[in-house]
Amino acid sequence: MNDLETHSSERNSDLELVVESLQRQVFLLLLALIIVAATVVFYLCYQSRVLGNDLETSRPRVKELIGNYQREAPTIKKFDQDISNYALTHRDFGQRVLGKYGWTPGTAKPQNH
Amino acid sequence: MLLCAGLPSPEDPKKRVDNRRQSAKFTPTMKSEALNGILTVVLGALLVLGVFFALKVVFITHELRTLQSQANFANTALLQTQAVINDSRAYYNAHPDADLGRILQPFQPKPATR
Repeated sequence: MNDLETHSSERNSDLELVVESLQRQVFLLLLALIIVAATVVFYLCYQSRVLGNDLETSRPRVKELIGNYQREAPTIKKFDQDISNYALTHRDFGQRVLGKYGWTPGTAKPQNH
Repeated sequence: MLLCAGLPSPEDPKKRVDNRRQSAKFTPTMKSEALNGILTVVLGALLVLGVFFALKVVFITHELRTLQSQANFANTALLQTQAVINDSRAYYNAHPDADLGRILQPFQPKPATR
């Protein structure tokens, strides 16, 4: 009977050690995971702040540039049509000037004013 | 006789798993569970924050790329048109033509006002 009790108490103390070790391991793993997650969150927070600043500084300039282009778009389109028509009737101009920009007579159609 | 003495009998289902006299001492599990619970909550909060910031970075990057491509397109169009105007003006100076002059008229440089 005493042997049984001794054996049983030895097993219980072994179990205690195992449980304690597992609890410690779980705690350390949770801690490590929290540190890794905090590092990733910090990096993402920093990136969002830097990119947000870049967006705020570049947005007005880009809007202004796009506004300029949209204002000039009808003029540019008319110029393109007129210069293409001129190049169709003046081959030398078409080859020497517009040829540099990939213009060919076959791509343009004459526009009737 | 054993039953009369109050000792646990192996046949008694109640007493078979009752080891009151041989209870093992464990470290305070309640304290450990509470600590693990707190750490789990902190980890959950960090995960939510991580997802939030990751989505924010994705959207900002997308907007930046869109603006950049629009700016590149507008800039390229304006620069190319200006280059064609400059080359056309140079050709006009070498070979004056009324039609070409009429086309380039809107793009003549304006004289500086004093």
